[in-house]
Amino acid sequence: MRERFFRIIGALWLSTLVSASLSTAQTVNVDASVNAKSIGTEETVAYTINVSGSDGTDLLVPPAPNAEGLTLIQSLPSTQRSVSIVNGQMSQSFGFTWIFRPTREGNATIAATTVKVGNREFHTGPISVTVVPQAQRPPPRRQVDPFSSLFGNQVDQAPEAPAAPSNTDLFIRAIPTARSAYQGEQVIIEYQLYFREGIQLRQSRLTDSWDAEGFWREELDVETRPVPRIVVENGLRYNTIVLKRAAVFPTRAGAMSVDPLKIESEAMLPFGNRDPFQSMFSLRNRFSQVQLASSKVTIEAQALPGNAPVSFDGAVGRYAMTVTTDRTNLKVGESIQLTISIAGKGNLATLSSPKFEVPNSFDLYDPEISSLLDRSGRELTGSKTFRYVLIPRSNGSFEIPPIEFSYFDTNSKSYKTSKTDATPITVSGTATTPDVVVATTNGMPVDDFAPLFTSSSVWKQANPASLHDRAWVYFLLIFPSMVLLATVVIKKRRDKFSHNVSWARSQRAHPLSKKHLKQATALLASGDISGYYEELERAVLGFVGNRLNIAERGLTRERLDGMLANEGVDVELRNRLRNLLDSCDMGRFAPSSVTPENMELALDEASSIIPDIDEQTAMES
Amino acid sequence: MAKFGVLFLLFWALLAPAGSVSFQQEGSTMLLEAAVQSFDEGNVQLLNGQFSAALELYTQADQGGWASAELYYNMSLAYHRLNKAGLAVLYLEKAKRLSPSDVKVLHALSVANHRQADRFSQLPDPFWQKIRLWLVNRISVFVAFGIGLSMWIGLIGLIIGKMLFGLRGDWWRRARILTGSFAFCLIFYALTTSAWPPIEEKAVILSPEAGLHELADNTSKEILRIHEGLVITVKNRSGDWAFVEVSNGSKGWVSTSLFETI
Repeated sequence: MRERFFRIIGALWLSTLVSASLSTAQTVNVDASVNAKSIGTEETVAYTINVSGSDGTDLLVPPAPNAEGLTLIQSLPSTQRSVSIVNGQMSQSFGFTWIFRPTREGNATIAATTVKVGNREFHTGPISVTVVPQAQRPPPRRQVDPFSSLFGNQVDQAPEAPAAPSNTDLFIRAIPTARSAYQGEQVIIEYQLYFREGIQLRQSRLTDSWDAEGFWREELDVETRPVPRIVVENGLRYNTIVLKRAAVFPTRAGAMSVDPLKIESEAMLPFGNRDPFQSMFSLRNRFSQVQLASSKVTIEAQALPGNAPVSFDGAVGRYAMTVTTDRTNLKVGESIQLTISIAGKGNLATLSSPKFEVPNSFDLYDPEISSLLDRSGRELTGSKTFRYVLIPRSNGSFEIPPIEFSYFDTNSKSYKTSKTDATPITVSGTATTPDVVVATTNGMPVDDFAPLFTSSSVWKQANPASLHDRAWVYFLLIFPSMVLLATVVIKKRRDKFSHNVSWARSQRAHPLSKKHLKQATALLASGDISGYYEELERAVLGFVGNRLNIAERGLTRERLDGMLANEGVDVELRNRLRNLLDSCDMGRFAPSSVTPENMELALDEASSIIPDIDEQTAMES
Repeated sequence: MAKFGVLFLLFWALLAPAGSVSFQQEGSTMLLEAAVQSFDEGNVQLLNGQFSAALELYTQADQGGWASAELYYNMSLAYHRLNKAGLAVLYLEKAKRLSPSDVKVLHALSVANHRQADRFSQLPDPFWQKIRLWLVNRISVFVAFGIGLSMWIGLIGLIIGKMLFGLRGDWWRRARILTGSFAFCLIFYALTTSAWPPIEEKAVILSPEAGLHELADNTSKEILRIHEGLVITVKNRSGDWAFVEVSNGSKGWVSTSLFETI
């Protein structure tokens, strides 16, 4: 019971909604169209009367139209009803279609007819159709058995080329709002794509840049997801969408052309008897590439009349000007903002600021300009604002004179001038130095550099050498490495001294012998003969002992001689050594027999023998 | 004897740079004093509205090899008053390099840019460029080199300590590795940044108009028309032509006579 109650309520609500939607439907529209304007003698033509905007309750089936050169195949029309919801608005239309067959070649006409909707009558226009010999018509498409492929009949499976649409099926129309305009006047050009009902389009894109030489151009917004509008054109029904809308402004007088709009797209025709299964699984093949271009639009631009007012600076269209100031009472050095705003229809981008004079004691800065363009409508509108900053330099009562703005009104085709009242300004305070200017929020002057720096504390070298160009950088990097290297060498030498006794003694041989020789020289000078010879013997024997790594104490002359012979010391040198050691013994034990000359000779001999032994033992080793 | 020779060479190597530095410093100090004097005299001329005379004095100060943001700003102000927008921007950019956050300089640059005829969008710098710039702005190459060198000496000390005093063990080893790694990274950073700084060569268009050409030839196709005061990046040079990039990424050849490097 409860469920039934809700069903009734739901049905009532739905019917209310539908009736409300239909009641708000647009006005009734009736049009007539044919499916082809040219047919063969063996073909037929479908004539359709379409009624939209009616809910159908008061619509009577129209009578079949009379025709000349055509005969009606059936007297009762086939009917169609279509319902669509666009933006929440429901609309429905009814179609009545009759099929005619030609009776002869030549021009045929379907006469005008009358459609009654309630108590209103609508009249359609006559439509002419050309009947040509069947041989001039393209061959009919193959009749394909949709089930042949399913049941193994694979005869003639070559793919059929997709049908290309003709110029009447698909085209772009360029519609300018005017073919003649004044220089600087706004002309809107709308590019509409027309395509026959049932044609599907995809992957459409502009193929060439659109240009309009001699015009200032501004693009207007168009729907990015347009809903096609149905129109009957020359007896055929088309869907249309707006591809592009642009406002162009002639920049000079004369005839000038706007380039065609070119697009490339893929189109699929609805006509043709194709295998539905093939069609279903090979949609791709059914689209054919099409290239479309609109016609050129030529606009005749005429020069503006010559009686322009002095304040006219090229503005064409319809404008309104407002001038405001942020204050009228201020102190010397403070700023006033004067805002001139011009709003209206026309080329705002090229609009220049009206000229005006300011009192001599006022500084006038360049304006800050901003524009606000509205591109959403069917023409370009908007506003342009010029913000001036004025700074009085002396006190008193001043007046900003009236500001004039003139434009050429395209509606009245005459110049019009808008003029403001004079603006009184009262400036108080005392005059300051000229370089005191109004400051922005960070303390800087408006639209000007700040005053100079009177001192500079930080000076830097203009082109200092880079780090990598300085030699000391590399020296500082290498020096620690050299210290390390030296440490390693010293450490190794120290280790060798402590571990290799023979090498250590060999290294010490020379310094020790030199030390003894030095002491011997000192003893020679002091006259200590035995001490002298003792040091001399110690120097020579000590050197040999260290060099050969033997203990020199208790070493006999013969053993010493033998060891030196083993080390490769020649006989002559060994004899010299023996003689020196003998003379040392003589000097130590019988000092009275030694002369100073002998002592010096012994010292020289010792100094000579030590390097000789060193040389010969080194060669042997 | 040979040891003495080596020691002498080392001594000389240590003293020679120091000597040349002190000599240079003495000369530079005199030039700095002259530059400061020219700057002060230029200021007087600028305050009196003698812009050309002020510029002559400022140029003398600039040619002494010393520079300051204030000097370049005042030069820019003088050029601005003489309606030489390109030179005004050039010296403002120079001032900005020496003092990147100076309010006066930044304000003057915004005023100059507002009057510039070209309005190009700004492409962002690549992230590695931003990182390098960030690093250079925070750690100068000299500071990095100083710290790196100290660590390098420390590492040598640690190695010597190991050899001579037996400083061994895990902690000593870690200290050597860490010190060595930091020393290497800092010295590498300092030397590479000095040799290849992250700041590209920038220039300012001084001619009222200049064509950005497809090839280094006046007859080649003009890609873009640029105007006085525009800052461009010089990518390459070939004779009297330079391959430059505009802030929006457009690249082309422009004659070197039409711009001056910052």
